Amino acid sequence: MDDLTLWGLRIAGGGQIALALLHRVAMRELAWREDFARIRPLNARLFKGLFGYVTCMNFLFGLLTLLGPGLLLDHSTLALLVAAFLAAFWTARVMLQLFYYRWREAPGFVGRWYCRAMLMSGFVGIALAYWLALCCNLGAFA
Amino acid sequence: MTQSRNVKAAIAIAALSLPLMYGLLHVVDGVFARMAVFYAVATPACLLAVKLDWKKLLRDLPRMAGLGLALALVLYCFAWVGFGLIRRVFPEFAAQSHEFYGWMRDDGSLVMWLLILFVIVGEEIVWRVAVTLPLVEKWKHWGVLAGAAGFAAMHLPWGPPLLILAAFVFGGCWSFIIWRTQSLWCSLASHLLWDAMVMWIAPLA
Repeated sequence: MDDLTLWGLRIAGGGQIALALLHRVAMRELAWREDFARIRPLNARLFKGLFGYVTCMNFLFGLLTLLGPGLLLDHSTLALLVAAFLAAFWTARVMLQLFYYRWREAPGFVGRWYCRAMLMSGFVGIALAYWLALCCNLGAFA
Repeated sequence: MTQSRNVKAAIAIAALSLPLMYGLLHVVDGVFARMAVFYAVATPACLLAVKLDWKKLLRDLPRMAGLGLALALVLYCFAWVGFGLIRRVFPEFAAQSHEFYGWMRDDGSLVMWLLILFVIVGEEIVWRVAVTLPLVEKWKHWGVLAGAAGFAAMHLPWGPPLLILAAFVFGGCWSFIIWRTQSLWCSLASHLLWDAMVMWIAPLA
């Protein structure tokens, strides 16, 4: 089971890096530049700052997961907590995608069904990999 | 008018439950018997004080109970992971679960299980139907938090902190379930199966 989880984590790490890089495309497709021009500059800067922050976090956790998946499976308390945090983080992302965002209204190809299905599969896959890591650390498959 | 009356009744029930439970602590021995007495008093009081659309709350039994059972499995997985984390990070806090499981080992009779069944039904009527529903109607998700806080506070006089935390978290989940589904069957089925799993089918400790 640990081998499967190891590979799952590597794929999830690669997926997170790809998602972080694809944020640039989403910005362009959703025409954020035009929308930012309409809101107060401070709010625009705050939004851009938070967006950059989350993107960097995705990239760096992706890098950690891609390069050191074994560190997330070494049954230490830190590995357990990091896996729990990332499982909760990506589960929340799946919930947002399902119940909060209205992607059907999105312009361009990001609103198309195949793009939404790909994004959703990516989020679910990443969340599952971390849940698997969390269960391994809790000794579920021992 | 009815909403305002229901909110006042819900707040009064939540406020009175704590002194009542403290009072029962000195009068009734045994956790499950004490809770059963509490709900024998509180349930009829709630049914009289809060006016609700019972037809809506009791609609579509098979579908809503099925959904509740499925949600109970999800909540059990959540509890398994959460308790695993607590056990690893705060082992002394997790050890309080032995006190709770000890109560059941000490008794284990059919009467105890019947009392637990009665208590669960009482908890759903008092805390989810009579307290949470009027509060969420007025304050939305803050009502869920208030209902969960009241339910957890009711465990204060006799429960270990781990049980109070569990009452807050899972009480909040059942409050959220009844708010979103507007079905007593859904939250009741979820609560019954979850308790059966945690206490009997697959205990956490």
